Amino acid sequence: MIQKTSPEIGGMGHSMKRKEDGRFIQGKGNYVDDVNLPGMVYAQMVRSPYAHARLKSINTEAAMKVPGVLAVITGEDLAKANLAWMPTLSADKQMVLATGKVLFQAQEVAFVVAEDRYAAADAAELVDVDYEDLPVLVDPHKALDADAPLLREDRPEKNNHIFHWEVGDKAATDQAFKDAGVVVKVNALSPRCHPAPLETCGCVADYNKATEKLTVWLTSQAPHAHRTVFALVGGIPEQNIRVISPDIGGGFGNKVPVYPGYVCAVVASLTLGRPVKWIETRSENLQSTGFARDYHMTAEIAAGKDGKVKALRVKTLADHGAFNAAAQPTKFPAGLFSICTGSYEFPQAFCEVDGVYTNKAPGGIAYRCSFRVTEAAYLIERAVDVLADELKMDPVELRQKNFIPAASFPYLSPLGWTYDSGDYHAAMKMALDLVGYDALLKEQAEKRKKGELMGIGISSFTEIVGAGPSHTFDILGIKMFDSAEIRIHPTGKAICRMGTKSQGQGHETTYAQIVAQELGIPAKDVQVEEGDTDTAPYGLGTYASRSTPTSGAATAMAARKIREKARKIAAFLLEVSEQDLEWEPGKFFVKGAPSKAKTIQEIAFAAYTNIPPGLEAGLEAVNYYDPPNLTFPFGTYIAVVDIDKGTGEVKVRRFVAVDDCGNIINPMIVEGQIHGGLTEGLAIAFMQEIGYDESGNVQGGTFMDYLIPTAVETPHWETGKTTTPSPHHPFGAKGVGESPNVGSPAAFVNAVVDALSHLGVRHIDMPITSAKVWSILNQ
Amino acid sequence: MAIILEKTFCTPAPIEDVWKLLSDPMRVVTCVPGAHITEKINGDSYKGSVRMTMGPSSASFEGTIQIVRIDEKAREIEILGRGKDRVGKGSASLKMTGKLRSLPDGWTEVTGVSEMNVVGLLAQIGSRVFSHVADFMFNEFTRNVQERLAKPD
Repeated sequence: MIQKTSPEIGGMGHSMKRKEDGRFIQGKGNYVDDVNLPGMVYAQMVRSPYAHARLKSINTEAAMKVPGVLAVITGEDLAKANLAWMPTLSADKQMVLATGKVLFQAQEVAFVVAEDRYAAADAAELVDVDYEDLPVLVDPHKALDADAPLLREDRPEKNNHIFHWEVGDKAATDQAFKDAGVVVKVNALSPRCHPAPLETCGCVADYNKATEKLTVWLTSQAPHAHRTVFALVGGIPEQNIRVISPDIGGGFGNKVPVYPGYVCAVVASLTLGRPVKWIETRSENLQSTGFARDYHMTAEIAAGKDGKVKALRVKTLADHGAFNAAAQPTKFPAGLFSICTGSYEFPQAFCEVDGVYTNKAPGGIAYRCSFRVTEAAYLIERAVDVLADELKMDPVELRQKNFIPAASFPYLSPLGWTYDSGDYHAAMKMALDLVGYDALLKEQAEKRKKGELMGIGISSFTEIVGAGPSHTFDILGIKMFDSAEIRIHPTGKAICRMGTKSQGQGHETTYAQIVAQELGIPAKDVQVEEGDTDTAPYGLGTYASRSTPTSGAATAMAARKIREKARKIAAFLLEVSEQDLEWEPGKFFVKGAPSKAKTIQEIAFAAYTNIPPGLEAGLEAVNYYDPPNLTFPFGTYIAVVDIDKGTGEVKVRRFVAVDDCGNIINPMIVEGQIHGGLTEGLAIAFMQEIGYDESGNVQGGTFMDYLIPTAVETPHWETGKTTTPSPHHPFGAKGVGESPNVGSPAAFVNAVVDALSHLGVRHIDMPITSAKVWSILNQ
Repeated sequence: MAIILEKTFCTPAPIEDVWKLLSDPMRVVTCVPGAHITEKINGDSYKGSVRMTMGPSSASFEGTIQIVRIDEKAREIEILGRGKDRVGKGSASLKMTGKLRSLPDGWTEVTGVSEMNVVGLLAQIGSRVFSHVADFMFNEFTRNVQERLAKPD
């Protein structure tokens, strides 16, 4: 248990209002597009209308004649500087600006720089590109056919196959299937979706020719890693690069990759010696930047007739688009997909994934999830429901029968993960009680008799977050630790800087609360700064719910170092030995004489004014935290839906979400994270898909086609918490940002399938639109 | 994105008159909204352009028009137009097949099939409205043909 501090201190467990919201609510945030520098010029990308075409020629003459145009950069220009291609985060490379051919619609072809945005946009239309269209490969299932067009002529392998990856004991799994009483199979697509952050991607690159310093304001979830990429790819000395991520308007994984626009803006600024601003439009963001998922999955479960699971077999085709730009730092090409055994005690499992190229935008980023966890959780939660249907067993009972028991933690899964802690039965029980499961079952039976459609969907997901332990993770070789630096000022106030970067998660508040918890300095007195690589310690950034497990841990560890030094100072001031002191949040006091005490503020002042002999002045500490293991949050979500038989419209009547994310820093912020993640999960389940037609035209390239949920579509969320601390995290936290997005799609889909199961429906692919349901009802 | 539309209409004009109009690209193109022939390349190929608007967006496709098949006996004609947008928004192709049939009362029945393929920006932003635009253009075309036949030049 975490000892609760006073409201004045506002440590862990207090629903402190977010410190950053004052400026956000007043429109006083400072986003990349708010950065305006003297002499700044503007850029516009010229993009390919074709999904696959040979580039015959690019004529920039007419564009250069537009008044105010300063430069038009093409792939050939970049090739001269050896910058036409750049490495991706997945051991592949991608074009910065196209040379030879284009491989997806909206691919970057030329970069126009002008004195103002209008001239840049006008000139971009006048860049005359002569294309010769080539056969288009849209369907990943055809990528490996003998007659499929070859997309990546640059690779030595003359096919569209990126990787084959497998994990688990194949022979033992196959044997378990042979011996099984029951075998079920489900083909489930996790469709291509897009995080669509409120703020699109962009940058301001400012190269100062006099100081040779490059400053880049960047919509980046990982500013330090991006600085290193610029240094490695661009050959600029790293000390001369300063990346600043100012306020970021949502990331959700979309702002992890390095995009061609960033590189072009840097090149343009190096060339022109002027600051260059490049900001995407909404359509550019949806069509060309990191999409998520596009996993075409098959799961089979072998079980006994009693419902006890014996083995899981998973086969997946992963559509990576034109380049393997999956922003995932694990050592496995399918990320953490092998968490697909979920919350269940499978004795055997085998999982294989094949990645292929298609003529679609590159990406495969982890949208509000850890590297393929959403896909895995969705698949297993669907498959378990299919098994329940086959066995005519209640899906709740089937889950309870197969849960990893609370006593079995730490639990080693057959695919190699060591789950830190969990109590799945407790979360399930709370969810069932909150929703009133038995009454709902009764209601459903009655409605079925009347011909009405009502469904109940369960999802008992297990998450895997907090990337990550250095034995499993790195980005370009850099281990995935994260950092915190805390400095206590003479008056007892503090500033801390982290290697992570908030995009709306509330770090300025939660990190301050961790410091408050550990040192007793009121959270309001703790300033949190992130995102400036010149000031913050090195770190790998914020995504995959890793901030609390890594930088949050580092904050606690750094604070504890400070507390140990504070103990020495307090002992000196109180003229007692260190062992005679006891700590309570905010002060050291002499055992048995609580009135003899020194507050942390008094100690801080002494650290600068009255230093004990032999001790360094000042009160500060840095910690780089390499987590020993990942953390495994979990929960049970239950959706209740009603379906209109006339229109196929699905109404989510109720949604109960019981989460267990270990010890909580700020309950209000956790609640907000859950609301946001559930709303995104709702959108993915019912509304969103980045589709492509047979010519490779993007069908979800605007907000008219790619729908964003509003208050109208969003149901009331009912939440509950159980608390199972992580045994290896310094304060037992696990991370929560992605859980609701990972766990909820299966609950929604399971509810709709449940409503239609008596009609023989076993699976429906997302997004479940009214049209899809209507056509099932009218088959 | 392919949109296939099929329409049939009847006109009081005799089949010979209708055929004369439909088999003459220079005349029939005046019935296509926004279309122009700019140059004859050879016997059955022409250079031309089509301008179309969709809400706030417009595109001018420049390319070739070719008579792929002309069967005077069966009164069938197939025309293929292919063009690229001037400002790089994409390309489009349009295959139109026309077939005439004499009716007992002297009228002529015209059956037209148009298959339109669009690649690029218009296919993206227009995916919701494109079939309606194609439908509208085809309706305009048939109306223009009927008007032209009613008031011969």
